[in-house]
Amino acid sequence: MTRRLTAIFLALLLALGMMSIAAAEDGYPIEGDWEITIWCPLSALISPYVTNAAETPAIQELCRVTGVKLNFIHPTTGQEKENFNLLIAGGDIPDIMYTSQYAGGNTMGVDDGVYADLTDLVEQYMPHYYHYLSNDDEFRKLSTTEDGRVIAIYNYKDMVEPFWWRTQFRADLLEEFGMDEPCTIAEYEAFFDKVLETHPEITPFSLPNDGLNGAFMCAWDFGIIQQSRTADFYLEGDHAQSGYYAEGMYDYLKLMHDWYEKGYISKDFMSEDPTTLFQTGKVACVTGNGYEMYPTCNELGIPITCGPYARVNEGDKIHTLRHYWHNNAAETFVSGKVKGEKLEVILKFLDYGYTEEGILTYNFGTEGFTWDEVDENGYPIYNDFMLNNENYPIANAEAMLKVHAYAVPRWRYGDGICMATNQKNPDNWAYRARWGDDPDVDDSYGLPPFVLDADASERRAEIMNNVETHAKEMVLKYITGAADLANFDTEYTQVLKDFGVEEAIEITQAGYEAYLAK
Amino acid sequence: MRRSSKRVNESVDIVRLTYFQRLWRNMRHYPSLYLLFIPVLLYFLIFKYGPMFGAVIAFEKYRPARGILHSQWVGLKNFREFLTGPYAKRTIINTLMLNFWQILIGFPAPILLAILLNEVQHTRYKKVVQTTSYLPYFISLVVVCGIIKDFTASDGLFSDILASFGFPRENLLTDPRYYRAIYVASSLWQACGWGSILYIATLTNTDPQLYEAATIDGAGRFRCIWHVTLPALLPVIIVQLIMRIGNIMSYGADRTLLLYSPAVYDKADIISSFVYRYGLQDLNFSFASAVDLFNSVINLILLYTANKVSGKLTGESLW
Repeated sequence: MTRRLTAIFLALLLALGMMSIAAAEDGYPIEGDWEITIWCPLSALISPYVTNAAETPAIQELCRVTGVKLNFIHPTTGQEKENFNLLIAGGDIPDIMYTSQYAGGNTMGVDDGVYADLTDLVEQYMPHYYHYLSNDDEFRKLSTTEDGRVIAIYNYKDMVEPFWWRTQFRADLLEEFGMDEPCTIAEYEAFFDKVLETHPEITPFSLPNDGLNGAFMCAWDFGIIQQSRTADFYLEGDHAQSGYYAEGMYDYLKLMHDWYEKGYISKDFMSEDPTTLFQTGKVACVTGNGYEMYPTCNELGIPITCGPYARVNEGDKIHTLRHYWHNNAAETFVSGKVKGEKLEVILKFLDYGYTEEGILTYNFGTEGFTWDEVDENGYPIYNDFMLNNENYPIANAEAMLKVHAYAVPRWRYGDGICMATNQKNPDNWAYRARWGDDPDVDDSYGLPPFVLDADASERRAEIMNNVETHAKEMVLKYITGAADLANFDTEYTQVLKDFGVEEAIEITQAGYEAYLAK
Repeated sequence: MRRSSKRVNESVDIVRLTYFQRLWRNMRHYPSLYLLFIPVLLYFLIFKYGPMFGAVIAFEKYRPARGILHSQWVGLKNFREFLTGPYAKRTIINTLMLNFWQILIGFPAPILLAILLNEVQHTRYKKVVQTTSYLPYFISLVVVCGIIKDFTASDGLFSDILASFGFPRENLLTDPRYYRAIYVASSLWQACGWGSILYIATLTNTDPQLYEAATIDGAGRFRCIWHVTLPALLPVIIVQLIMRIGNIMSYGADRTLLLYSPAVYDKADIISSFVYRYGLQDLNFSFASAVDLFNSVINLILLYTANKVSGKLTGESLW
């Protein structure tokens, strides 16, 4: 027994020794007296407690382990773009900038000297990041511009996780009617009829404010199942297509108009948030972020369950967007103004998120602070300080105590592994994972989020501005019946064509081909 | 005798002096007045004249990091793009129509309120009415628009009232037919009382003898209003009207942004909301500035015309 203990002790000592060697090799904390300014929006999860991210224990811990002092500039919520461009126009460029807000886009930002061109620097100063960049071909394609430059640092995540954007139902009503979660359009209608019949105080269904619901558009083979991106460009076979210009749009609008006329859809869908309508018990079915709605509804006492994506007939194949998890919207840019040693330090700081120690720090927090031991897979188990913090509820604790929503790129574990919320409430995670194994759903329609070059992206934005204004207006009018779907071809399709939507699709297609050829 | 001759000499001198010499002389005579004027001057220089140079970006392809001086010059491209684009006609018409209704209904209302209050004899009652009519003005516009959204929802107060008369329940604010009515009515409710202050103040300064004289001459209430109250108000009304017309193109952006939605763009999208969307949300700074500059030019023309017409018709004008 003693011998075994000694062996374990020695093994542990050895492991510790190796870890400390690794840490020494990594060279963190960085030596010297460095201050780095980070521009990023203030997360809503921490804003109830602090006005600046630097005040959170998470960032203080990060400063301690990396050895740099971090200062944060937060824009006013809702005015991020405006604030950012005012800052740039005033001549100040923060050292690190989270997400691209520069008027004119990423590549133009580099041309104008706002963002640094990191192409020749990553190999030397960000060796850990460069490792993924040079070994994962898809990641390299997604993380470089059309001409192969590295202008931003991206999160890396090597796993696909179940998606949370699903249609949610009042579980008690389904039970009352003896129904399963609807799947086909006919089943939806049967459910809505029952609701109208038996619960006149509840509206059966509501749409997002813009009238576009990807979880139903997909029944006609178009659209993206995600909030606010529903009618974006997607991939059909090997051709780019615009959701606004897709053939299925007519069928989708016809159904929604029908449902509006029958009283299935809330008359206030244009102004009321569907999630709020559901959570206040006014509406029996909406499409939304189940992952967030599930715990909230449990708290509010609204029975909730989620269903598969809608389809016209049982067994129809549904094509959705592939979720490029390892390259999500979290782009991080470095100031084009800093040079020399400071630039090296900034890159080294950014590289931390891809080092062994950094991956743990960014995904789980620092050892001894948010976790003390690891499970059989080597994943840290959160301690009481994180899971049952007396100051913050779990969702906020996650953002206050570990780096969760800041401008620091990193190698990311899946939410199922690294989120304290899921460790505390495994049923949350189970709820999100439901229907994730639907055999009729594939992700072949996703257009990779490649970066267009400056001129192309400007031209496309110019066209899509008009296209979207017109399309969004007409979509709402068709649903409410203010415009007649009989004139769909002339009032909608033809107008979008006149506005140049086909050119915008061509630009996207050319960008996609350039991406493939990289 | 000697003093007056000196004064004559002085005025002869003044005529011969240039503008700046006269200004200098005036400044030496009344230094404290000019000292008082300095903050006002600075305000206009810094906040009104300074930014005018920024309007140059309307002729450029502005990029923040390059600044005004180094961005690419594109001439009238942005103006052409707006005027030949699909939304120029609609936003201009909407701006004019919204203002037409606003002026037709919203402008006379405070005058009417002031005249009515002027006729009220019971001081306490008058004060109460006056104060309650001011109150909505002090509620933040965001709050007011939030209330309007709730009231016009399909389960809101207005829908309840309409439903009790047998109308179907609709969301009124997202129906293009009602949008302008809701807009005008809500701003009437909010601004009427406040707007009447100026007129009431003018009326308190009207010589009571005029009313007495009119009454002795046999004038009734309406005659008194017509021949005494209105003429007393006329100069103020004219000035207010000219100023209001000068505001047409820039009026109402905030209320529009808070109330409209894509469903009512047809009737609701005005030039300023269009500029907001394209300029601040989509970051087309140059395009938005071009539209706004175009807007200001029209504004100037309107103001100038209104002033001229008023000068001709009533003899009252701003300059």
